[in-house]
Amino acid sequence: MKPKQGQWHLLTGTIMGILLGVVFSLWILPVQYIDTEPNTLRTSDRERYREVVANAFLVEADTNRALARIALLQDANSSSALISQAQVLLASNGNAQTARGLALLGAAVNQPSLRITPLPSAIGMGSTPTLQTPTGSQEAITVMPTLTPAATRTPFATFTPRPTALPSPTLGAAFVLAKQEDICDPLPKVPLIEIEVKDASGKPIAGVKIQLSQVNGGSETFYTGLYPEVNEGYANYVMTSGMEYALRVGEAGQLVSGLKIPVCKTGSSSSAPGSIYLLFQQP
Amino acid sequence: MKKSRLVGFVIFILIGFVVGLIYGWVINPSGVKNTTLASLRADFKADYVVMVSEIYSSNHDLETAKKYLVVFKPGRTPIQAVQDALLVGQQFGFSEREMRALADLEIDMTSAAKAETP
Repeated sequence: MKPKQGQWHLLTGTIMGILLGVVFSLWILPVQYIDTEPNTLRTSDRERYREVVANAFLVEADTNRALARIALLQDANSSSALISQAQVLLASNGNAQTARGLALLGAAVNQPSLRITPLPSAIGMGSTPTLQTPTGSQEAITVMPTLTPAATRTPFATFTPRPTALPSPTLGAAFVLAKQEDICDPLPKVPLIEIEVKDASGKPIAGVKIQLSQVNGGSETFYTGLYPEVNEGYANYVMTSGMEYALRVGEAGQLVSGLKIPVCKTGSSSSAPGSIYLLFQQP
Repeated sequence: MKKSRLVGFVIFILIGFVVGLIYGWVINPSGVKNTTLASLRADFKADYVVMVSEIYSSNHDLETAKKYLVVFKPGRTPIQAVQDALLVGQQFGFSEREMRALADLEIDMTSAAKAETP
């Protein structure tokens, strides 16, 4: 007499199949989307997109257009994303011009009225497309795309090298805090730590390393010089509500601690977050 | 395990697999995220190519332009991507400057490709 066998193997097989199918359809071969929008791009492609927008911004100098393009990415903080990408690029000895474009665009996000001088372009100046005649003749028609004869391309303007993340540019006296004040008028769009670094003669210095740490852990390093339109010694950092920061300018500069978002009174009972301005100078 | 039981087991695995596929592809597909530049809508792609052509108009660095446009592979080569952008530009009424920038890039890329071909 044979023992009676149940149908459990069928249920087991079904469950195994479902699991395999779900894993396959969600991870191994997920749905491929087409006709997507830039805000869905993966990280590497978002960076590539920002890079291209920033470089195009340097050529077109059309701030509104560049901002509209960057807005398509729907970053939580476009300015921060652009500037951090510029810093990463500089730190990895990447293309200085691209880093400049990213930094300028990052500045333009906070300051939409920012205008830059476009790099010269030679659109329509360099190529003379040749079309074959439809009669089969070997003669060709030369189409001049511009009214101006253009035998040679316009030489490109030389690019002024951007400051790179160099070691602290001075081995002299350490930077000390010369001025600290809260900025409430005008009220900033985002609460910033705005830092200016100057040498003993009062000249702004680019490429100075700034180390910033948070009281509850975590630290970041950034450099002056990414906002040449403000000045070469300027840098800023977006503060987060409830956080307390400490920072040091240069390798052996004075440590400034207890930095947090100042509260600005905007009325009898209302308030808004302000920014902090710090001036560091060599004695 | 008897042969008939084994066959039933395999059949039900396959049935479960199909059910799993339907769940992952139709009922609850993964969200639209982590997409690539190649999957962008045609007008966004064309705008991207316009930006590359504007950059090229300034630096005339064909390698950089190709590097930016190679993201559309394997579907479209860099030259095809520029040609696509020209077509979209005609449909959407891109400015003359943009069309010229695209045309310049397309011509130079085609010339370079011909020069590379023995």
